[in-house]
Amino acid sequence: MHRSEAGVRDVRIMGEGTLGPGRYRDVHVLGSGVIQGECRCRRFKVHGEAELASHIDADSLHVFGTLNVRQGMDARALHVWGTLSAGGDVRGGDVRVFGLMEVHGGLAVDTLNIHGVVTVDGDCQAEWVRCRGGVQIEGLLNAGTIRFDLGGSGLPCVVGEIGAERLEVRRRRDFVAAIIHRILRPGASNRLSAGTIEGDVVTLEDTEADVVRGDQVEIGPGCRIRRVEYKSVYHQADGATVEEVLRV
Amino acid sequence: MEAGQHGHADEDLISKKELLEQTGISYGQLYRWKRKNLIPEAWFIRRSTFTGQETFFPRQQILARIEKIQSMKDDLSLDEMAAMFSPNPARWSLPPHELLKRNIVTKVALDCLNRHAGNPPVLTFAHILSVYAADQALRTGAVNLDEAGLMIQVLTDHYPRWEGRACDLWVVRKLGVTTCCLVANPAEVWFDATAHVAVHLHLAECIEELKLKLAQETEGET
Repeated sequence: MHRSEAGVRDVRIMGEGTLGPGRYRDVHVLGSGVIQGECRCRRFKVHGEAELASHIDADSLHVFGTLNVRQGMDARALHVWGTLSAGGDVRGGDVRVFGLMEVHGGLAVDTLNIHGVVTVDGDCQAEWVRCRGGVQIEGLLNAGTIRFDLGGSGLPCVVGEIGAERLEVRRRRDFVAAIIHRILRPGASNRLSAGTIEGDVVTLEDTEADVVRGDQVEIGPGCRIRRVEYKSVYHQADGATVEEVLRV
Repeated sequence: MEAGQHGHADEDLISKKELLEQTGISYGQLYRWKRKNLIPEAWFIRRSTFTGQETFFPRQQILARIEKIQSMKDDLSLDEMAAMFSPNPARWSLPPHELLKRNIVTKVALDCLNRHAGNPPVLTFAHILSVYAADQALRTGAVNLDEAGLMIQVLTDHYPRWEGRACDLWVVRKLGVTTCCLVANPAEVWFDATAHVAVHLHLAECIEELKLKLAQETEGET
C-alpha cells in the first residue's frame, strides 16, 4: 500500500470497542476490538484480541494476542507472536511466525520465517522460506530457496507438494535441539513428509516422500523415498531407504 | 462426440518431464515462472498415471510461451514479462492513423470500427483489440465485412465484463445467419451438427500478441 492511501487518524482500543471500516494511520488493540469492515492502515498491532469482519491492508501488522480476519489480508511486514487466523488469501512481504498462523486460502509472500506453526489450506509461494517450527500446507509449496531445520521443535511438517530452485532439509544437531528431542519431547515426530518434491538442488534428511525429482539430488540419513529421478548428480547416505532410483 | 473430444484433448497435452527435456529448462525455472505468473495456473493440469499423479500442460500453448520467455528474458525483467502475458490489458491508447502506420491493422478493419464506434479520435485498448481481432479474422478470409463488424461490436460492447478474464470469441454460422458470442474460460461449448464455426479466437493469446506488437513498435521509435 502507498503511504498516501493510509488515513491520518490513530486509533487505540482499550477495554472493549468497535471500529468502523476505513483508513487509519496506526491502529492498536489492547483489549478486545471488532473492526466492522475493510481496514487500511499503516500499522496494526494487537495485544489483546481483535476480529476483522472483512479484509485488511497494512504496511506492518503485529499480532501479540489473537487476530481473526474473516477474509484475506495484505501486509508488507507480518509478525505473529500470538495467533492469527485468516479466512482468505494472505499476501505479504516479510512474514515471521513465532506463534500460530492459520490461512484458509493461499499464502503468497516474499520471505517466510517459521519458528512456530503455519497451516495453509491452499498453495504457498515465497522467494525464501526457512522453517524451524511446524507447517502443514495442503497444496504446493513453491519457493526459490527453502530450508527446513528439523528436530528442534518436535512439530510435524507436512506439505502436499514442493517445487523449488533449492531445497535443503537438515536435522538440527545443536545442543538445544538435542535437549528438546531427547529430554523434553522424546517421542515427538519431527520429520518432513511430502507427496512430490521437485527442485534443481535437493538435499534431504529425515524426509518421507513419494517421488523426488531434481538435477542434483542428495538423500541423507533418515529418509524414506519411493522413487528418485535425477539428472546430473545423485548421492545416497547409508541410513536412507530409496526403493527406486532413475537417471533421466 | 464427448469421448472424441476428450481423446483429442489428451493428444494435445505434454507431461512436465517431457516439457523439461524438450525445452532444456529446469524444475526451478518452471516453478519460478509459475510464481511470477508467467505461466497461468490453469495450464497446470493434474492427471493420474500409472506412476502416480503427474502434471500436464496444453502442448502448443506452453511450448510457445516458454519460447517467448526464453527469447525475451535478456531484455525484460520477469515482472515486465508477467505484465505482458497478463490478460489485464495495459492502458494503451492510440490515434487510429498510428495503427495503420505501424501496420498493426488494415484500413478495411479500421473502417469497420469507425462505422460502429463513429470515428473515435483516440482508440482505447478495447477498440484496438476488437479491431485487431476482426482484422485477424478478415485476413484469413474466415469472415466477411459485416461479420467483422459484428465481432467488433460484441468485443467493444462487452469489454468491461470480460476485462482481465481469459475469454474466447466464437463466430458461428447456421443456415446463412451469423452470430458472435464471448465465452469466459474455462468452458466447453458444443453446437448442433449443422452449425459451422467460422472463427474461434483465444482472446488471451490475441491480447498477448497485440501487446507484443505495440511494445515492439514503441521500442523501435524511442
